[in-house]
Amino acid sequence: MTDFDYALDLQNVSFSWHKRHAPVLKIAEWRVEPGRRIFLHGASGSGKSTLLSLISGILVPTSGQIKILGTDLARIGGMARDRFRARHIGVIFQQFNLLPYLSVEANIELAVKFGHRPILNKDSIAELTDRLGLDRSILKRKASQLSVGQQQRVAVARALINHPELIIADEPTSSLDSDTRDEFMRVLLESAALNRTTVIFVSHDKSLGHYFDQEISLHDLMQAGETKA
Amino acid sequence: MILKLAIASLWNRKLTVTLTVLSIAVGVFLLLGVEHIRSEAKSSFSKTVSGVDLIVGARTGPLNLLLYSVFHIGNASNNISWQSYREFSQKPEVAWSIPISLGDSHKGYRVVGTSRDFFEHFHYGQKQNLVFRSGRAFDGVYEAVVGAQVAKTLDYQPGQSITLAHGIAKVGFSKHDDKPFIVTGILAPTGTPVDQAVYVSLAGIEAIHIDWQGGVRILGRSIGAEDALKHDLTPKSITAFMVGLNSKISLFSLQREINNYRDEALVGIMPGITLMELWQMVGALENILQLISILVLFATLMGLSTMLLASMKEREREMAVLRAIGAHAGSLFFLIEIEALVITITGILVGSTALCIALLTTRAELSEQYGLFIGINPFTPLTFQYLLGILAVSFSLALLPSISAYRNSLGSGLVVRT
Repeated sequence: MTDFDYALDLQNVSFSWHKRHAPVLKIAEWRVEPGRRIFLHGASGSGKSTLLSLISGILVPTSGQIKILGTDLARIGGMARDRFRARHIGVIFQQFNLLPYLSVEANIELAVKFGHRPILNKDSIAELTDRLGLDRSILKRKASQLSVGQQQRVAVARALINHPELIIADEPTSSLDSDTRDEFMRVLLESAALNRTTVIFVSHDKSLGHYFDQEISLHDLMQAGETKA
Repeated sequence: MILKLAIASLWNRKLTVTLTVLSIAVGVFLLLGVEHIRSEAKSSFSKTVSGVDLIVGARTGPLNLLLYSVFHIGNASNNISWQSYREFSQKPEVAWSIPISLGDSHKGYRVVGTSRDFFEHFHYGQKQNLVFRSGRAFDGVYEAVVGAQVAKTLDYQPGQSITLAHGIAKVGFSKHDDKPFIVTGILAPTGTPVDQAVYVSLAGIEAIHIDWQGGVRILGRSIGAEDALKHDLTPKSITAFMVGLNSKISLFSLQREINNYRDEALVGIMPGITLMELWQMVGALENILQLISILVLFATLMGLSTMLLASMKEREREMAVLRAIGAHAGSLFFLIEIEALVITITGILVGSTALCIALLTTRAELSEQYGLFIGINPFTPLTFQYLLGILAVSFSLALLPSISAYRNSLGSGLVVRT
């Protein structure tokens, strides 16, 4: 991996769905150092999901520059962006992270295959599930048969399997009750700390802020852009 | 990997996928079935008669004459006199002739009165001779030869005694039971209507009708089998006759002579030409059938495309997950295309299997009822071209949902907006 000063480096980024429409997102500057755990909060509809899509390279900014782990996503092709995401970024959604018709194991293996990593042995998947406090017996079960809490932990396992440098989580706890939520946060952040993985965690629930190194409101992030520009 | 994913995803939607597979199977069944039967019917008809230059009967449509004399379909409208037959069969340009006398049956199979020349000169397929599987040709008045299918179905061996029925209904009410026949020979299978017939001498036909008039037995005038032999058994009329010539050069002049014969209204037809006329008539119908089956198949493939397109909405989440873990938008395109092809190929397999089973089970019926001899293997090089064409159409129609999957995954972000 090439050296980089920032895990995340956004400069003058703006994004609009159509060229003639006003931008839905504008960020003048945002830098995150490697290994930091960032809590990003904002009301729904404030552009959180769009920001995460831009960081993960699924969307490309209308203007400006997004460097992830030192790589300018806009300057590499679509295929390369997808491969980059598979290898270096773990994504966790609010819910429905898994393909319901595949087994838990197959879901995790799929991420390995898209990452074009040499096939991991099954032990490493089993070890990971142990570490996340999941019973090994669920590996063979269909994802659709798991509880929401189990599904979210499997999602963490899948996000971590390729040892990504960056994890993006989009409201991953919003469908969990308070007990499973605390357990989920512990598991996620402990695993991330193990590899000094940068975490960008988005939620509207400010009570989760105390888990993180830094709390930022998306509103402030965009305001900063307004004043600078 | 994408193939495995496609199959797992399809399996997850068993019900709709199964219905789509079945609809494609029906389309494939129809298309291949129509194609197979039309080519088999053609070859079955054309191999039925070979080496016969002219068929002569009472004046009627050429097609009608061909159908009743060779294929045993339909009935003769009129007979021709024995004198006319004698006159033409003895012409110097005629190498051989086979008289045919129809109108009786045995347990639903047609009885053909003819001469021993039939076994010597009648050809089918690629100029193949009739061969006896067992026994010999009829010799005496009350002797009969049966076709392969008749012997097989009724389990006849040489020496079997049979009675003929008047008329050709499957259940004959008036039987010639006073004059039983002995089976002397069984013909080898030919795959033509010959297999479905019973052959007796013209004298035999004459003998069983000696005490009949106008289709009914004359009361109080019954003549026993032995007594009948004392009468003159030269037939007064026959239904038709086949002619083989010494040289094809005389074909047209003899045909003209027959058609202009003054003593009796006759018609002479060339079987090959009449068959061609038949194909021309049937051809338009065939084309319509083929067009319909192609349209049906096209509609089912459109249904496949619709099914996939309709499922894209509920699968947005699935697509978003795949994108998140690094699947390229192109992979999603191929995922949908592969799903379409897997469904189509399964449909083809199901349809073809069903067709083979259907052919296997209806074969006997087709040959007995319609004189059609249909092979059970519907696969020819042409069939494979059709199947490739089906796959190509399926691929093209699935472009719509596939491109939709591709564009959606590029255009929308990481998260599904509902």
